[in-house]
Amino acid sequence: MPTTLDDPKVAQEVHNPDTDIERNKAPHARDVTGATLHEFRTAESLLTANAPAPLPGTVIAEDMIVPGVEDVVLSHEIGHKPHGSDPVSDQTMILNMGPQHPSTHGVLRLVIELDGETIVSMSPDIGYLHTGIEKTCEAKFYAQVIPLTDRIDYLAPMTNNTAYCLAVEKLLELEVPERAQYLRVLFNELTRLQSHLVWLGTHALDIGALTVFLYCFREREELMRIFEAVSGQRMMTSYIRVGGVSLEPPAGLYDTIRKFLKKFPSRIDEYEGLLNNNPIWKSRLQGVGYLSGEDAVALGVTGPPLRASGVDFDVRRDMPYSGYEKFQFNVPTSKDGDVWARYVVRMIEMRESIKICLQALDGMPEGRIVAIAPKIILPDREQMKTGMESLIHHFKIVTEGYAVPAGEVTSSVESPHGMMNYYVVSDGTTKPLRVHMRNADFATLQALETMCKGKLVADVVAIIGSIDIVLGAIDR
Amino acid sequence: MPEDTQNTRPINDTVATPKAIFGKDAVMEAMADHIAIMGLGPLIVDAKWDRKELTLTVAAGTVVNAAKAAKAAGYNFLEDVTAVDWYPTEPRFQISYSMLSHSFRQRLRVITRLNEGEQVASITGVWP
Repeated sequence: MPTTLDDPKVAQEVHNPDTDIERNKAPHARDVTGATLHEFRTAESLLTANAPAPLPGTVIAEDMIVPGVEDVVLSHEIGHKPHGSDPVSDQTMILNMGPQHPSTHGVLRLVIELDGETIVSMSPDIGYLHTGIEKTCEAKFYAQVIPLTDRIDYLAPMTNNTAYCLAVEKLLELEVPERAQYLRVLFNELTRLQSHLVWLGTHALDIGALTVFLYCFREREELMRIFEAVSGQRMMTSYIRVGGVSLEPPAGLYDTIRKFLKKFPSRIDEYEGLLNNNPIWKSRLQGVGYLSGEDAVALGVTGPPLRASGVDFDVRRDMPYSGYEKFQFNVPTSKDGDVWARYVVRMIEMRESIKICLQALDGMPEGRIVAIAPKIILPDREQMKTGMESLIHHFKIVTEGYAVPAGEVTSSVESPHGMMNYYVVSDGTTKPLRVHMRNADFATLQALETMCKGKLVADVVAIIGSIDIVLGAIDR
Repeated sequence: MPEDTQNTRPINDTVATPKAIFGKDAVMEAMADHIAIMGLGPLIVDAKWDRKELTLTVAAGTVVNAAKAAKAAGYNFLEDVTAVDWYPTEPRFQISYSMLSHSFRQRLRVITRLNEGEQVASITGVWP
């Protein structure tokens, strides 16, 4: 049945004075702000429950690109063409950027309101890479979720695995052996190097420095080979498992890692040699995309962008997990808050990661790589084929999964992009009731408009590069 | 420039008890000096201290006040807002707000339960 204005619900919607005020405001007077994206996503996830209309103040990208009726009528009456097609018009122009734009690092779509070349307002439109992973997790056993987590932030699979496993271990109250913790730290930091290399390469490519990209991918290839040697996969590693890690690293791998770490500082010098004194690089980065510390905290920004705005918070140091309290490292910060500061902070972070990796290699204790929990962790292949009990456990774990005590936990790790939380709710069965990922990229995207306002279109590319966005982590 | 800030911050030790505590009265008695309990006090409907995580339940109508109280108590950072579908339990939905205090290095979860068709006010006024 078609809805009409006579329908009391629709009539209320149309004549609601509050929403009318919102609609009549100029687009730049409405802000995409702090809790808005989180709340909007939450409302979307509850679509079955008569999800409310978008929150007042939320700018939907579609609304921006379709001109309001009054705008069209006005422009017809006074002879102005809508959307700035008239060069002498004082109207702003709406520009669509993405989702296929190469500088959006995936499928991010931005609808930008421009006054000349200056950005008046902006609204990100996400969902082009939506996979429904959070929902899929609810239909899997706890162990089967791990390969899915690889695909969330696909540049940092080991970090995703760690965050998920920490949450499940917290629910199970399972102690992880020290050796497994050291291996986790080692591969988490190598993942950070790998992710930062992709960030640096693509960021420089966006600005126009092609060589850096090629150099970065040269080193990334070596890291990929290390990941392949330890897990059998280059990208989707699924190496870190509930209770420990999946495999003992092969003989000689530590030497390979040491060799890589020994020459890597000189490679960072190489990148910095290409960029630090480059006048184009400097003028494109310095003073661009300023974000104050207060704004960063209010908008939920974490990780390198937060530290580049002068807020000294790092989950690894301040709320240690997986044995990070045993490692000595510095947390770089900067007070500048611009794109250049984020570049500097990440470059120093890479050097700190090398220090952590070397400490992990030097201090690697002997012992087991998984906890002793026969009903949760799959037995060795040999045990399984020789022992009756192990065979039964193996069969039960594979066919039925393992029950996890009821409860809700949040685990938090410092991923290369910022704070990554896994919120896992169990109802006591073998499948999670809810798995929710809090990724840094999603929250940092909220700050994009604040960083871009008043800047030029060309700066948007530099700013997107500086927040190191991964769309897999945003659309879940 | 990097500064050596390793282990220079104070750690809040008010939450040392490892045992799980359930129920409003038990939690409020055991953790009376916790910043969240002191801050949210009368708004708390239910509480639990489980696996070293504090979860406070508030009524759906008081979410905005609870957010203001939590912010005033020191939880300066809103990490996440999400929902859990407890079908077929009633009330069906749970909204979870995850908040973090940078200075106390503590996490707080504030939850509220909703029936189908109910709405909860936005906290955009508290975290812009």
